[in-house]
Amino acid sequence: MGLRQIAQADLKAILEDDVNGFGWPITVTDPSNVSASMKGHSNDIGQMIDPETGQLVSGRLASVTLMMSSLADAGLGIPVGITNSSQRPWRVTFDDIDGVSHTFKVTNTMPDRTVGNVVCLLELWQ
Amino acid sequence: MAIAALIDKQDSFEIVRDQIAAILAIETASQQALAVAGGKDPNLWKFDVYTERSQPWEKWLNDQSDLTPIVNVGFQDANFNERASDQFTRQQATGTFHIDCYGVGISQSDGGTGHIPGDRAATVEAHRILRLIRNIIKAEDYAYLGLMGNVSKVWISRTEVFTPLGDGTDNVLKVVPSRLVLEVTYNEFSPQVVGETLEYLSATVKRSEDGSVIATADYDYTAP
Repeated sequence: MGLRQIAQADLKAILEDDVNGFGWPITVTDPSNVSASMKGHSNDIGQMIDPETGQLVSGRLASVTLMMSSLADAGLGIPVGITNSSQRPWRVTFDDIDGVSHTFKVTNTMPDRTVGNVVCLLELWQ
Repeated sequence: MAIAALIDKQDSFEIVRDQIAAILAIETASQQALAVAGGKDPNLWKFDVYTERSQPWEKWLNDQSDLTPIVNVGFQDANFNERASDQFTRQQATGTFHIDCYGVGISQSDGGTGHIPGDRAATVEAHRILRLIRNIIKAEDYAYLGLMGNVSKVWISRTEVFTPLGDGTDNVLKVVPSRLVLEVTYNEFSPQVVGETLEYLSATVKRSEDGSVIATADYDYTAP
């Protein structure tokens, strides 16, 4: 096993191990409504954004990081932002630390094919 | 020497700003009533009005139970017109007021196999409120903003729509601001020295046939 594959295995443990890593239950749903429960890293935090008015304002950033191999194992492809409104978007659902469930739409993604993870940036879904 | 009277008044720029906000608040309520009477959804004419808020959309970030569009009226700046003013009493100014409209959109299912994108929904909301604001402000009912006698011009110099707030940082909530820039010409007044009355004098001015002007007055005086 080369260093790159070791890095992938380490990353998988960090992202999906919910005992010794940051693993967190995440439900991923694709545009055809196929869902899979998997583990990954979820993130939902406040942030300051610059709307270029000279004043920073409050914002909120949510994202999930998933292993591409785990998505494939679950029968899902790599999430992408869906522009076409005649299709359903990719959606993810996960609980916050207090157990409150939140569902988001995937707006854009950043696959890292070097070590095999994909970061999905999220938008509120009603 | 100090100003004798307490400066206990609003300047015209504050009166104009508050008048703009009052007109908008009255009209959103009135238009909703008209919509109901016409069998239409009143929510399409509903917006909340604020003044001088720098971050009014904060309430949407963590609570999406009320997504009523937000309108904020703010005074931006004023230029004073020397030619139309006098040095001491009255100065004419053209003030710039920003009427910012914030629309928010949350992506959701269209009930079928598609979805309603939040970014487009937010932009359409911002356009809709901008349309209402422009029509209200330029309605003949509100000529001179109802402040005729002080306000002499109300002019929409520009409208614009911005990219979603936080675009590029991928904010979870799609908020799109639009702005109507309103230029209002009005007079500002400043404290004046009130002269002390020494004596009331009544005079009659006459012009004789040869063109001379004669003023006559009747008053008591003590001969030297």
